[in-house]
Amino acid sequence: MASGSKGKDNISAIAKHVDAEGYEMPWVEKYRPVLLDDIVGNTDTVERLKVIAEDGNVPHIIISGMPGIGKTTSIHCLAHALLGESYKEGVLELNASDERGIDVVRNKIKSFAQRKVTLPPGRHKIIILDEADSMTAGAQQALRRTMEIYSNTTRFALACNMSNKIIEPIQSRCAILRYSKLKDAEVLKRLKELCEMEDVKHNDAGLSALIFTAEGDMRQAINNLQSTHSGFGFVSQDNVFKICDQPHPIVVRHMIKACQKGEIDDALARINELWDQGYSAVDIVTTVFRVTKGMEELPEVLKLDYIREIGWTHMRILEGVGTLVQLGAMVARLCRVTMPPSSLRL
Amino acid sequence: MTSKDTAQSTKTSKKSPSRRSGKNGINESKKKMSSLSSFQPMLNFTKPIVASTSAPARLDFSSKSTTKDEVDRKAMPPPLPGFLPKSRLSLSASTRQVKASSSDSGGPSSTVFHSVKTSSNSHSIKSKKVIEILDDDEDEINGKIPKARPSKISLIHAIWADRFVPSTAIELAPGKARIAKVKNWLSEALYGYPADVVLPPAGMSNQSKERIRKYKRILLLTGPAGAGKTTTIKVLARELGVELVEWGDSMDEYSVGLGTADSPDRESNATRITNFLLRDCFVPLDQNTSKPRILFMSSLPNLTHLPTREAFHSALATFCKTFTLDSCPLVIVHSEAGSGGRAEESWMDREGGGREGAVSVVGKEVLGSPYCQGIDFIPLAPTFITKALSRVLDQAIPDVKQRPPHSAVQLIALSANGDLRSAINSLQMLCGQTTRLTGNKRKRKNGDIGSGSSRTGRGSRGGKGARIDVSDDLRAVLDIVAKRENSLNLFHSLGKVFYNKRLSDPRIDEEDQEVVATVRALAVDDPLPSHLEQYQRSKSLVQMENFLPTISVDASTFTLWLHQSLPSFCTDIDQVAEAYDDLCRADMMRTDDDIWQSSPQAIAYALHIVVRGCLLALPSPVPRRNNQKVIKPQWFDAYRSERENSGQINLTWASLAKRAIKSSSIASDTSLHETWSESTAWGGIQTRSVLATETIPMMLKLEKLHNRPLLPPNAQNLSLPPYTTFIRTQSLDERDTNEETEEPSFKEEVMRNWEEDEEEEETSWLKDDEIEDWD
Repeated sequence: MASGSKGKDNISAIAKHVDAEGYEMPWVEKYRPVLLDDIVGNTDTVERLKVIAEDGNVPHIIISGMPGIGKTTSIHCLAHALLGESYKEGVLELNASDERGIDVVRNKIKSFAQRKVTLPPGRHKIIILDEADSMTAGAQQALRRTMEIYSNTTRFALACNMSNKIIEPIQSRCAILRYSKLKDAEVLKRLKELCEMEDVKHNDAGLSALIFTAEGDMRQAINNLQSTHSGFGFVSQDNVFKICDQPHPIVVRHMIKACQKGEIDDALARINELWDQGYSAVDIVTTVFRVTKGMEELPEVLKLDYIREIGWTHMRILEGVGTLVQLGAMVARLCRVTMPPSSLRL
Repeated sequence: MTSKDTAQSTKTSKKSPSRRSGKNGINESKKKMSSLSSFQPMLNFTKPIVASTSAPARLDFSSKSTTKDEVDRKAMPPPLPGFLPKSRLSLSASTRQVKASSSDSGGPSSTVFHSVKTSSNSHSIKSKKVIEILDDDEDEINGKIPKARPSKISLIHAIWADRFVPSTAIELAPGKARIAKVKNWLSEALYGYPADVVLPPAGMSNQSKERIRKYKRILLLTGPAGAGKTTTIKVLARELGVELVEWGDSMDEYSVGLGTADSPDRESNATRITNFLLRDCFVPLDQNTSKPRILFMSSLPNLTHLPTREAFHSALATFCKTFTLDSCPLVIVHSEAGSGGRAEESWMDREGGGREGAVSVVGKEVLGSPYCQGIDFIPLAPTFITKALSRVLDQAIPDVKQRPPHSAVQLIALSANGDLRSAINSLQMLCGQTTRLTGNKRKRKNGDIGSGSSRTGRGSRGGKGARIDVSDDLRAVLDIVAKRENSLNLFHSLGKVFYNKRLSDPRIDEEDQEVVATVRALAVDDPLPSHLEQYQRSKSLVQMENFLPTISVDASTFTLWLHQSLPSFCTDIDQVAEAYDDLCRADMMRTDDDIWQSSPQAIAYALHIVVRGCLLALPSPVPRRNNQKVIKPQWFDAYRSERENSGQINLTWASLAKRAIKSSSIASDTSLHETWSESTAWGGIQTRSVLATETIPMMLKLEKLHNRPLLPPNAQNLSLPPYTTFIRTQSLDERDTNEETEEPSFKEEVMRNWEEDEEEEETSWLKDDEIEDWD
């Protein structure tokens, strides 16, 4: 989950470790952007934030989007750009892990909002509510009024995964910015920068494996990069999949190809291979889905049918029957799609 | 970045240790008091610095020079904790709306002011404005000005929605009729006659005025967020010269209790409300009684908590009934979520807090009583919003050339979904952009912006936005600014599915070449086996991985829209059938009992299947016809009426159960127990469906026959199955003529049974009523 303060706590905790035992800091924190310019992806929206930061008159904002795409980082950068030196005094951050019931909204947030702090002219205190969609509706109601009363001195910045979990009155008071998933190229660019800075040995296949496993989540990509680096010293495709502990997409891809040709024995052998490596049914089926939807050469109708069958199997596995039999049945059904119906008749 | 701002106590300590060291003792002692008042000493000492000097100048200011002000501040003892009488907070509500047209609110003056502030702290160059601000601060030191009161500095940097709040009723955005209604109610409640009568009607006695006032106790304003409810009340109150006493949901109540209650925290929320309603409706003795007061509640207590709700309802009921000449009316403002049935209506969390209907806000007793009147605000029409936005722009940016083009304003108005506040927010963000552009000497001419018409392939033709000419980059900016899950985006994504564009389309050259190029670059499809050849399609321009994240509504809602409008884009019934087959499969994939809480995986699969299935089933290319329209799903209306009906049925059920219990308890007292035992409890134990399909229709019919109310008034508009007409016409005839038929036909038999039932019930209710009267 995107959470700056969790990370921050880690920093202080780990900073001690660095002193004491020489541990390494998570790269996610070490290279977390401080300037709005450094934020990867969502260029239009970030551009807008820069304008606001220059202007100084921030409205309340809600940033919504998937985890790991820079919501919290953007808010922090914005706060830094706005408050500069006074960041420490002028920002209150509350996280999902902090207590955020009605009482906190009434007392902590309100007393912060009432406090007078020396800030650069025309700037406001900022209250950051991370993962605001996990706040109870009652707390949000209480927040609504606080926002209104203290909007002269305090601005709210909310980060959430689903903006419709925020009650309507608050949505109405905020400018809503939607962050979209990071593009692969954007993640790649950042990963390459990190590799250079940390002197990570890598090859291109390794980086694309990182991108495949991360699915647009920058944080996960960087974490995996660091784990692979510290674990193996070299970022190659195989090492990444070992670290991420995911079935190898190449195997899965071969499996689907075999299904497409109706070679059920080959396909089953691949599934068995993955199963024998110890992957759970959920892991396997998730990877199968991911690979299937990314296969460009698969004709549309096959893709639809395959996704449907995979979906059914996934649902069954989620309901508790995570067995090899289910996976085998899935493979058989995938094969049947392309087989001529006449050959299936008894 | 590296440290989190947590403790309040570390707040200001860093700034000027030398100056603050002497006060530490005081501060320590204050901190031990309640958290709210603890920082007040600090606050009063740090504030003057904010206003008078800039950050860099402040450092040497504290070290080298001590002006007279400074000495004064040091010498002054910190004010008592909680030294904030409540009346000032209510004052803040009225003072907040400073006329925005005043000269010093404009952009240029603010920059001048900044430069003055940042240049130095020398007193010689201070403009008049700065001196004014210093005056304000002197007052604040003495604790006379409430904290919430905006000084001129903060007003310049206020959010536009606050800064350009209308000051007169003419400027209000909601419809005239609605405003007049509110105004009349206020006037009647305060003076006993409507506002449009200039002088009190000559023949009107004080008694009749009182009678009117007596029944104007509670005004309930409902409507979606941003429809102007609160603003209307505040502006009207000012015009009528009325003081608004605002309930703060325990926000401001802590500081009030100085001297009156030792521990206001101990007072429960419910008690505070009761006290607020019963205490504050009387004019305090020490105040000048010339100014009438209105109680105003915009934030309600936590109504999802049952005891709180009950306490609140009973407090309201008591409030209604206690009327004296001095008491003042109550206005409740309640934001309803999504009453407009819009696409982005968050029906997913329908039972969440803040989504209660009017009934649960004030309670059914109060709502049904004559004391309470509800006025529903509807989402503002785009024309109204455009008007209001233009007014804001006139005040915000005096220079016509710097304003964004009118088309942009219109687009914001359209995409705001009737929410003026969010429209103003969007406008403010947009204008940040324009000022920056001019600052960078990249000023665009207005004609330029308007002339770049949207491309043919862009947007959906059914979408409202397509009519307006906006250049592409301005549209891109607006896309970000006005991205409040807006309908333009929805239509955009629906259009992408419905028009099913593929590489083989004849008009492919008119599409966005970048997209076409990327699609062309994809790997070629593998050949299909012969039995699937009919599904051979060329590559779709809709690339799933990029498309799915751009859908601005949740998956279920998107499916609803597709389902409603898909057939008009097909040429063949088979295509519709195929697409709907996939919709069905997707529906089954989500967990069956409760699609709202299906797992995210299920939703992902379902969305893939829905979109891919529709794309595959639709003809390629989709022929364009006139009747192809994207229609709002009927589901929203059906869902709303279902909610309303079930609410009414619940109420009716409750009232029937109440009466049944009452009658049974009385019956058990009398000796009639045997005869009553079967009929007494029938209202209470029926299931809702029996109630809805049998009992209520029957009782409504009885009511019509006898003109005697049997059901609570809110049950009257329950939508009923239509069979009643048949029975009614028949029954009236037969009642008159065939009272004693020897050979009843089948129909008559049915009727007979009905009548018997009716009689039985009728008598039972008659007795019941009598008993109640005695009671």
